[in-house]
Amino acid sequence: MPSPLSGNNLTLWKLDSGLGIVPFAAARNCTLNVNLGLKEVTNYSSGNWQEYKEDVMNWTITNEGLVFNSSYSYVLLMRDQKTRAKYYFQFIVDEGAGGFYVVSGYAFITNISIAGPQKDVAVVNCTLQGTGSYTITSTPISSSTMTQTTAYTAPSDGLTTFNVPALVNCAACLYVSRGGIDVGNILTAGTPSGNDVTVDVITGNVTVSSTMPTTAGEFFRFLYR
Amino acid sequence: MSVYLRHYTTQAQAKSGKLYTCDIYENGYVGSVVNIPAGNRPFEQNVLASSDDAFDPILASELRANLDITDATDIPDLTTTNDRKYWGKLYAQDYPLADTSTISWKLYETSSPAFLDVNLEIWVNGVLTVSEFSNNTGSLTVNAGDTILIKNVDLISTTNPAGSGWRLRIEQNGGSIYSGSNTSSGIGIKVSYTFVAGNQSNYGVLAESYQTGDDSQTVPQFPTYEIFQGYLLMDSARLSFSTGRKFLDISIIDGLGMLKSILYQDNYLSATPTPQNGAVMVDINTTETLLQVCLNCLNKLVLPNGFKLNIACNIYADLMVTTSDPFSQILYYMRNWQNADTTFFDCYTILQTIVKSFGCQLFQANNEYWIANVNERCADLRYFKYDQTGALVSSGTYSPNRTIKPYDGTAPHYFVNNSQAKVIRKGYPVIDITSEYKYAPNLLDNGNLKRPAAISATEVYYNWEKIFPMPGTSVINTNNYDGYNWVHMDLSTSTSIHSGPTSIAPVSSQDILTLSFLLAGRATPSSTIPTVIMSVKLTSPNGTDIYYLDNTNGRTSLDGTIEWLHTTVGCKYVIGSTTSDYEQISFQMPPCPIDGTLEIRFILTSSTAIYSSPTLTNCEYANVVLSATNQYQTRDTKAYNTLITQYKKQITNSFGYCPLATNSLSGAMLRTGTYATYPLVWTNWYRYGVTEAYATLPRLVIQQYVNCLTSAQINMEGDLMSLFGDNDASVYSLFTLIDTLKFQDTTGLLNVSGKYYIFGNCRINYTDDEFSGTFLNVSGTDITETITDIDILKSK
Repeated sequence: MPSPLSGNNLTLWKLDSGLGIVPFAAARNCTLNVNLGLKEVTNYSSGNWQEYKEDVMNWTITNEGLVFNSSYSYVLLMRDQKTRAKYYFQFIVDEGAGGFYVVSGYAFITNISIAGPQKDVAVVNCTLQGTGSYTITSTPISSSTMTQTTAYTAPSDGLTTFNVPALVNCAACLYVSRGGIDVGNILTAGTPSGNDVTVDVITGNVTVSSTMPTTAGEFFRFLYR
Repeated sequence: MSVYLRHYTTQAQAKSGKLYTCDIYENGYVGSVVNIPAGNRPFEQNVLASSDDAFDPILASELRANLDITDATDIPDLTTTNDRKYWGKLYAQDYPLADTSTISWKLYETSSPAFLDVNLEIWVNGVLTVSEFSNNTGSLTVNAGDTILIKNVDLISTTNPAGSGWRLRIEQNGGSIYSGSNTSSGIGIKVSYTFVAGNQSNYGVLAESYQTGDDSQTVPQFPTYEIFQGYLLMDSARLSFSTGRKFLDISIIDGLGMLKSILYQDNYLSATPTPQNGAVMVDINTTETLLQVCLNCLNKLVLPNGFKLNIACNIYADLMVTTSDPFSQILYYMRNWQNADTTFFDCYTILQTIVKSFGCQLFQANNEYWIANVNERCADLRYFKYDQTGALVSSGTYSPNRTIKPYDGTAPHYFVNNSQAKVIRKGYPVIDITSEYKYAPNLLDNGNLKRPAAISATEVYYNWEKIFPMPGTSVINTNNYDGYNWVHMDLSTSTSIHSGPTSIAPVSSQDILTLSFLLAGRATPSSTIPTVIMSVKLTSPNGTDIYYLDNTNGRTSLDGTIEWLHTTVGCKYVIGSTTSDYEQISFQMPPCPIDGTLEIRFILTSSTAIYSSPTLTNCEYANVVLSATNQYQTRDTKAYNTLITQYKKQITNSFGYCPLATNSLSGAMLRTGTYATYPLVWTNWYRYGVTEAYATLPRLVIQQYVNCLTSAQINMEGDLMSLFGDNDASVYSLFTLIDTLKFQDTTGLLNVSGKYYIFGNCRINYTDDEFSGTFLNVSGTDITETITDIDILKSK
């Protein structure tokens, strides 16, 4: 029986001119809408039914309740919209052992709403309008910064440090998941705790918290550039 | 003349997968090409039918182009008054889908003077995909990023003759990326090339063997579909005046409407026209074929790349050659295109007159002009294609029929938007073609004497000769005053002098001629009443029968009635009535007794032995007009199934109504070739492939009107797709105005299956791959009705 996919497994990334591929933000709701337009071709032989043929397609991404991370903020979002330019986005679906599916394409930031209700948390929503076709790959692709993915399967229980050669001398590790679930913070040095991990880009060593060592066969996914 | 160079280009991809390009060329432009992005619905063609009449003679079109000029610093000059500053053309090309490229290949083995083997291999990502051993062409689609290896291979032992070898040429989007050759004989790879396929690129590959005497091949080009050409009309350009994205809407017209303001001939003696100028610089009594007239009119547009004209009208007269088009076999006098003030008709009126008289339509389709008979479009079209010089380019048949079917995923053309409807138009129980019995306003060339003499020794003005039968000191020369050019005749010591026109139209029996001119007696004594003797001689075509116009009772008195004398020499005394400067003289002749040619002379003589007194010493005359009328006013050709009705279709026609040998009428279409003995007219008209013949052209044309308009017409309206024949590789050429539609209909209500339709008012949206509008029902099947001719007499 197929398992439902958790919303945590859907992430949105943006290609930033200075920061490279960055997680766009976390959102309470992030929705990718893909629409196929139709052209009516009803005729005398349609037998009282409307008939259609395929026409053009479009896609949008709506985000509600954005929570920005250290890489991006609502200020940067508004700045980007003001340029009236299109940006490269990736909508990544992490299916764990099933792999990544990456929906990539260019989109305009068409709508930003910032609400500051009294006695409640400020809410930032935004809408992205895709332009042109999107591509779907099982490997994250970047238009210019060569973001890549690599995987690691823990060979045994109890490991707290293991080596991932692909991460050696990478510019940055952008994302890590364990068993299809996001890790916490990605540290570049020091000892991790809880759900955090430390990635040493010089040696390629990955360290997990001693309280959460690996289990045999545990699947790690890394996004890096 | 300046050269037109490409200044702007705009491209847009269509839903059909084709890439449409509009190039705008500028007269005298020097510089690089400016790319302007396409705007919204960038390329739409509006077909401007003036009504829902299938016989509307001229179907003009305009192409509306919408350009995004937000970031443009260089756009066409919108304020220019030069109608021909910018020439635009629209064409489409096959365009690969996203993430693919197309390779069009050709293998050619030369065989002249000797055979030289070559073979082609195309490898895609290490897999042999194309392997050809003999002359062939083809294409394949590859993915962007594929590694392509192309080999030009010789698999048999061949000794190549001197001057021969093997060659591989590869182009990407029309530009060469590789050209290699090898002249070494022997088995093996001769030349090869590897490349990585780009994204949405069109590659052309020619793998060939070549030799001296056969180096004929070119790299295959991806198909290009020429669609439209014309001039930018700045009169209706529209430009956003706000912030945000800015769009420019421009109109490119096919030129047919421009012809309304272009005269067939210009009446100017010099390059700088003045009100006093009015010289007609052609002999109006010369003939041209109707084909030449059509080409002359279209050549007035001065299209930079020339044009093609297809004659798809297969109406012939008895004795015409059917291996050529009819227009090239019909001669027509240039004088018939003149107005009374000697100016010429505009070219639009001339084309309309010709086209309408044959039941045809003139329009632009596929970047070419077509004159196509309405009835003939229900079957394969015979056409003769000419270029702008009149050279025959090709001839053949074209199958115009396209069937509109319900959309089922395979139909090439289908209705969309659920807007389709049948529109009924009541038929006409009576159809009436009226042809006027009229003549050119002047049957004499250079009647206003504005065109100067070409040979001064024998001419006083162009086509006006001066004759001095008796020696002496007489004078025949020119004079100019009061805006007129005059012939001045002074007898002096000579016995007699003559002058007169040398280019006069032949006349027909029963033509009623009127000669009018200004007459002055300017020389001393100034109070002389102007007087001159006219000799008007009518000679039969074989020269044996001669008639003289006479009002002197055979030269015995001065007050006789005007009559034609048979054989006996007579003359027409003209005596003025005032001593004022000059006066208008005009006299009508009795109906011409025979067909024939005229000789007209103005005579001064002192010989009382030849003509009666008084002695005539000098005169001046100007502005000579020989006009003609007929006892009949019109010929009405009528087709009817009942006369008791208020619904009558009235059509005016200009050609081919004349009775046999009535060649002076403006409707006379004259014979050419071996049948052009005396200028006789073509008669007994028929449609190619149909036995029945009609005595006059209006009778044949009215039959065509009957076929289409007598019964109620079930026209169609709606939106249709697709222009390139969606889903059907065999229907792959662009749907254009020359095509005829048929509609699949299995309903029982006003079923239209088997009916044919041509374009009426419509709009073609090239990028949305849609065309919408009205489609007019036509038919080529004869319906029997009573057809009569009635000649209406002039009221007295």
